[in-house]
Amino acid sequence: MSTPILTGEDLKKYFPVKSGVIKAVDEVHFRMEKGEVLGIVGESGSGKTTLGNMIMGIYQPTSGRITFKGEPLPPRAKARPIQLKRDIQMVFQNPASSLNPRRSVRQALEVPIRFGGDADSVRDRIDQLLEVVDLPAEYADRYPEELGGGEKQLVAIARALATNPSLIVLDEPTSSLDVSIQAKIINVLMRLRVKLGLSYVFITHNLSLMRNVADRVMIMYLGKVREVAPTEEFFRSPMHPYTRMLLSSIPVVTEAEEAAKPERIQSVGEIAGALNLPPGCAFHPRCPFVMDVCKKVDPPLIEVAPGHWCDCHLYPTENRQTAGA
Amino acid sequence: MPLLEVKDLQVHYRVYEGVLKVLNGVNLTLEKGEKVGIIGESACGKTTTVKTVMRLLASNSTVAGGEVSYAGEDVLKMPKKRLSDLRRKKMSMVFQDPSSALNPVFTIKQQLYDIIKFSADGLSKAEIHERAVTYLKQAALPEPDRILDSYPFQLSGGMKQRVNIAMALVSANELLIADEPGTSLDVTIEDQIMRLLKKIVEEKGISVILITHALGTVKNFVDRIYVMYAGTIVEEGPTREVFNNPQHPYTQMLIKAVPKLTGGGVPEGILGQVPSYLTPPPGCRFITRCPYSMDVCDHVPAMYEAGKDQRAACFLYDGVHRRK
Repeated sequence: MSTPILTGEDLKKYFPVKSGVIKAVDEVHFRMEKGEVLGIVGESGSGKTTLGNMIMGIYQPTSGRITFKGEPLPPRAKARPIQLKRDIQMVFQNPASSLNPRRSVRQALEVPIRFGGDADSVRDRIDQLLEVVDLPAEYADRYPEELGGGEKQLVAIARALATNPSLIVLDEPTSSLDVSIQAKIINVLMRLRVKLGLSYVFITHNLSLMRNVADRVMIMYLGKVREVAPTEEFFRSPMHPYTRMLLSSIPVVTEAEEAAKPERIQSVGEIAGALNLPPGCAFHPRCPFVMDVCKKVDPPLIEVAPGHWCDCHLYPTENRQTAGA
Repeated sequence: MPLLEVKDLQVHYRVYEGVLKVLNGVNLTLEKGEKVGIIGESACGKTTTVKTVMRLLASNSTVAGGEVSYAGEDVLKMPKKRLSDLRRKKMSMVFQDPSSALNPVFTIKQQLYDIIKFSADGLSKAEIHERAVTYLKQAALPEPDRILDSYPFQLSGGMKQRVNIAMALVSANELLIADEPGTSLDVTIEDQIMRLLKKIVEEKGISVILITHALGTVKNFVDRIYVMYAGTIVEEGPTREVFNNPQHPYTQMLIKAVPKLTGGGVPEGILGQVPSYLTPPPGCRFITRCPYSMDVCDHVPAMYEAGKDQRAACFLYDGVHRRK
């Protein structure tokens, strides 16, 4: 097997607060191949953004490690060599707040271009970057307030591309945009992925979108990975009861989609408070298949079918490989 | 007589740069017990339309034309007292963001009691409490007494939205306007809220206007749909028909732009941008993004019959012009 571009090994991020410890990310393992789009899907409080921030070095893991192209990644962004920082970039959810309103598009793009090393051809590079994201060259002299929401996000993408990265963490890049604009952004991203050989960590709550763009989907709930599978397999036979609840809650537009949903698991209850997680499997208070064992033992993430991992007591553990092994 | 009738409504906003001509001739009817949806993308005038119905428009707005009649009465011209009666006993609204719709410095009890006192005269303390508990139970909130003593920050987003629904139910005996009630919630919670809302309004026979930009959400909820674009209604029809056989080019493109759970790749979306309300196109407002635009589109299209029970504001259906 080739060297994965990114792996996470037993990653934990705990936030100590006055009244206890919040386990935002707990025992997370993942592996991502070069050129892959890994969709990290979860609702609020699932730990998906915390995970993204650890990849970027914004947060330091409490324990565990991340490797990038086979080498351990220094936990702190400041401790990372400049080449590593160029190689891993991020696009944030809200382009209105991730672009400085007092800097023109040109100024916003200049910084990472100089940082990327090719300072002599800044002007050409700006033209080139704008072209790559389908924006006219004259946009270089505009300010964020003169751009639409979708255009702002395209500038943010151009900025992330300025250092020639190989991995981009996309944190809900289209959640604040209308669907007609979302389609445009996604198309640009998918085209660039092929053209520039990029790998994406795509953080989102939108499973319908992941069905169309991700190679593999990873479901998180209350800090843990609950299910990982290649996209086709994932949507054909979702296993975890939470995944199935999530899928049956999605409002869809066509009859064909309605038919493609798994047998309905009606959504009940609410996500537990992060401070006092239920014992055993954290999903058990909402699970329609809850058994006695679920209230006591947290199930390990096991490979239930080839490439399809799930942490649920419904799937027996004999002869299965556990994630740590 | 329909419960609510909006006729040729035109609403403008005065801003520093000039006048935003937002609503441009909106027509809408709602029968008693009917559920209709208004769908459209951000800033297309959905909220402005219902705020005009509730007379909750911001002070820089003017109703430049048209009328809103509620059970035959002109809402825009009725005296304050009469309007207050409507809001006390007939209609109410659930807003998008459950956190900002509740006052953070008062307990749920203080806020809900106030609304109940406003809705009826001469209630005793015990009666008010009894009603509060009933409404909270209707909104599927367990332990109503604990909820009553809570401040909004002590409740989750889903619970806050249930409280907002309970508060709206106090007055919404005939009409409930729900403005993106599930948008700010997680999808599993949104599903619960929408099912609850549907159950309540169907049991009580309350008429509903549901506003949303999430197309899937309205599909299982409403009987009829109005599609809005840039301050105009571009299509209306029964929910099934509009989703299965969209007629207006905008509706067709909008439905196509939604990523499908069945896969099939990423749709292409709609190129271009919504026109500025300062200088909107004089005719059809979709002209700047429409792949079928013709010379005639410089005029304002009427609503033409398009398919079964469906109507679209597009010259392709005027019986004269054809798609090239």
